[in-house]
Amino acid sequence: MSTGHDAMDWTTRLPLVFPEFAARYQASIDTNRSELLPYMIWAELARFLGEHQSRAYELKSSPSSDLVGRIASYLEDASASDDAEVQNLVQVGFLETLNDLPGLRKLLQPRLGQRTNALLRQVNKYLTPPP
Amino acid sequence: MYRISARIGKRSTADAVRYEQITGKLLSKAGHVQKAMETLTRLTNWQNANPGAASADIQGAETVRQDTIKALLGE
Repeated sequence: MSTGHDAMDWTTRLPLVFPEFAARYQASIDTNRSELLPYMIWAELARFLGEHQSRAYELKSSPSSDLVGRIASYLEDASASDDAEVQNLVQVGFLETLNDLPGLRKLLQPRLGQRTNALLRQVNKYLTPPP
Repeated sequence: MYRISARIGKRSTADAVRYEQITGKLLSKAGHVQKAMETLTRLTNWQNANPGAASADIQGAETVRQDTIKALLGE
């Protein structure tokens, strides 16, 4: 089993759409012997966003780039894909990781689109929600 | 409905694979096998690159790795 063409496209586009994430994206590839692992990358994106928000909070300033909004928009576009594996990357790669990041989840959930929230409800059926 | 404790972290992917294999029902559109395989690759790469890591980290990674292998083998 391997990741399909559309899912790879949605993944390789991440460092282009979110230049802030490019270094982490490349680091993930480098630490995996130059292999791109899409589910690990989407999980890394969730952790990166969580750390980005924590830093912004510590500095008592909002990130000027609205990274949260841009990622929420990207997630919604991917969730609307006809490709089951692209939707799977959102749900199993990103949203399952979000479940382990309660602070980010609280911040991000209201900004998620309808289709992304539908996938998050699927996650809620089998993962214990954060406190 | 089957629930996977979020507290068990990476093991949850192995549990999801087991659930999907036992019931024949996917928890998501394309299931959890690919994520489990990627988790296995990542853990193996980490172990190879960090032979001098703390023993607790090495043991933890190995526990998850073995559990993931068993899940993929249907155990």
